[in-house]
Amino acid sequence: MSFDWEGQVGEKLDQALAENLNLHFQPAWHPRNRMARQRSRSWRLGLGTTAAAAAVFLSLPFFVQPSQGQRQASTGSLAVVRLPKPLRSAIRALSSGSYNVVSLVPAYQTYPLSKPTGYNLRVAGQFVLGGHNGDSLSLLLNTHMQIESGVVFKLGMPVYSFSGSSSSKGTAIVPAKSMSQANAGPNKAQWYTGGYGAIDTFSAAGSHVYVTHGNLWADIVPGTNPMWMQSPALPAASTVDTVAGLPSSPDSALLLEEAPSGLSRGFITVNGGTTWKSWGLGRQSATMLIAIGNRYWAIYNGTLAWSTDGQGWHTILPLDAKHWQVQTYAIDPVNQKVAVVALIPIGGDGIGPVLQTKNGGETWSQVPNFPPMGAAPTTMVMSTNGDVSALINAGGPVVVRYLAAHKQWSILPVPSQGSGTQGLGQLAANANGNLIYGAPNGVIYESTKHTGQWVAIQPPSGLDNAGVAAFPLQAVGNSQILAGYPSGWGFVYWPSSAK
Amino acid sequence: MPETDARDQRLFDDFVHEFGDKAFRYAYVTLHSRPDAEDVVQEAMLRMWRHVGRRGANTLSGALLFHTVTNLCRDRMRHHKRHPEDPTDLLEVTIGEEDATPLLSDSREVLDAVMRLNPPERQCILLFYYMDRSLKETAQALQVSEQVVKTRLYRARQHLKPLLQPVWKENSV
Repeated sequence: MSFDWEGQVGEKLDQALAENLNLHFQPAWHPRNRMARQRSRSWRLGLGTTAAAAAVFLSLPFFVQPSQGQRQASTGSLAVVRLPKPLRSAIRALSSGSYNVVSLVPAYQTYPLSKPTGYNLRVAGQFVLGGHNGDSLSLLLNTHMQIESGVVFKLGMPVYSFSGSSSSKGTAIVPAKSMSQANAGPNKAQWYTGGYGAIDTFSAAGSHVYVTHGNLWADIVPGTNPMWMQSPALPAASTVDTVAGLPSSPDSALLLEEAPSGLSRGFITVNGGTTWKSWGLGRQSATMLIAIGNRYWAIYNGTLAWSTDGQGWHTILPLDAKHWQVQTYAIDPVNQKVAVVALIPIGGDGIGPVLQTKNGGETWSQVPNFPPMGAAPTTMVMSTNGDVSALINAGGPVVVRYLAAHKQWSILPVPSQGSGTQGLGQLAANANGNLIYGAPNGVIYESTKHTGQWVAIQPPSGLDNAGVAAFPLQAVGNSQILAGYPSGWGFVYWPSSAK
Repeated sequence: MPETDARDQRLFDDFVHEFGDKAFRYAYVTLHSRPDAEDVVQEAMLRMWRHVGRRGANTLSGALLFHTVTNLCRDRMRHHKRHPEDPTDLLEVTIGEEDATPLLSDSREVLDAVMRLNPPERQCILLFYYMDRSLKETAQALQVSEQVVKTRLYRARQHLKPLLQPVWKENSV
């Protein structure tokens, strides 16, 4: 028989490959099924990776031990900050013993970029710099964790600051001197009790004195007992009210009811609180409400805004809401087009830039080189000459001041009260621009511009038993100061010493 | 992930049904390794699936599939050539594990004979005689000219003839 393989080779190959070797395309190889498996595998892989990362993160404290200096004073495990070795060596060179890290927060000084330009490190221990002893140290680090500047604190008070690599060539911060009120005039320093019990906010507008406490508000009429009323929406007891009355129209006031969620509902009155109507905006984030002239000012949904009627709000700072929020602000008391804001990252952890506008928000410029104090400012006040003062509560209250003429920040020493300075302080300013400082022990001080000294105002008798800073603390014009304490609140007649 | 409509999916299913087995066997004969062939045919079908997502099922063809399989097989062979220490390299193994499977005598001899050819000739034989591809389609799949295919087929026949003639003579008796 002749060889006819060409006619049969295909058939024979098919027989060998299909029947004998059983080479068949499997349904599981279909791309549809394969991609489904890949999705499932990706999901499991992602889940496993996340779980592994979480496990590694949670187990880090068991494997990464803190340094000897940190371990001796630190009790936390997860909170231990692992500093780079060169930085640890640099801190050891400044300390005379063990130290522990109190906080390490990022600092942002290049608005609107949300990338840290450095870090603010606060450490506690024993430090001797430039011949000055301190128990804590606040350092500004660059992004390479190298020291750029620092401030030494003793009992919460700044005593020494330096800039640059040489910590021995710094500047001593002379403690502030305070005068007793013994030299006051006949009526000066006389307290008038406003009421008993704490208050949360206070706003004087014309003949009205609006105050709130919890979910209650009252319009104080001098010489009569206050009529406390529940806020208009009859909220739960956990609601906290804030009130502000318009100085230009004292019968108009805005009341914010802040729920525990942080969102507030607003109510407006135009007849001194006889009737209230909703602001019609639903729940919004509105905090730090004040009234100046004919405007309400507040941090409205994270940025600075004003309103004349409480219903229409105008933002003057177009923030990138994904990255920044306003921590606190100050308005020039005589020119509302001048304002300053302190920003913080939206996550809340860090020290953001300070911005200033002089044209009602049309342009903003950065107030540079905010000092490294370990935290963002909690309160700011502005003088009519453009100077800005900021209170920072980090370990102890520190007041820093930006002199517009010199275009730089400096530490403003406040009176030391020994260990009592370690706590929260308060800051306000009167119409003349004199600073009113509420020390953590309850004493109030006024800084006089012409002497540079602090004058002490002792808290009212009977209301000072708590030993805490006055809150709220507010100047009413140039001759009165309002101070609240846990057991009551009142006015002190205190004509401004500024000329 | 490509998005295909129902019609394209149905056409693709038909395409897989028609060419899936042949592509797998073509890859196996080319690579002489079942694991490699499985990988190659799955990757080739995945590329066809993406192709459908981009250009629709109407543009699918056997030539495109075999062209893709050929390229993937070539990549796989290059990989094995560059990594001879790779334990997955089975190209140099003349008798694989699957070869131990009992075969019918004549079909086994045919397959053995084809597997003794060099890869280009094997591919030509498979495409032309087993897949019933035309000269033009075979040339497209192998990315060579038709004349080259003719030459390879001629040489393959010359190599197979002495190998298969005794078998045929034996069976035909």
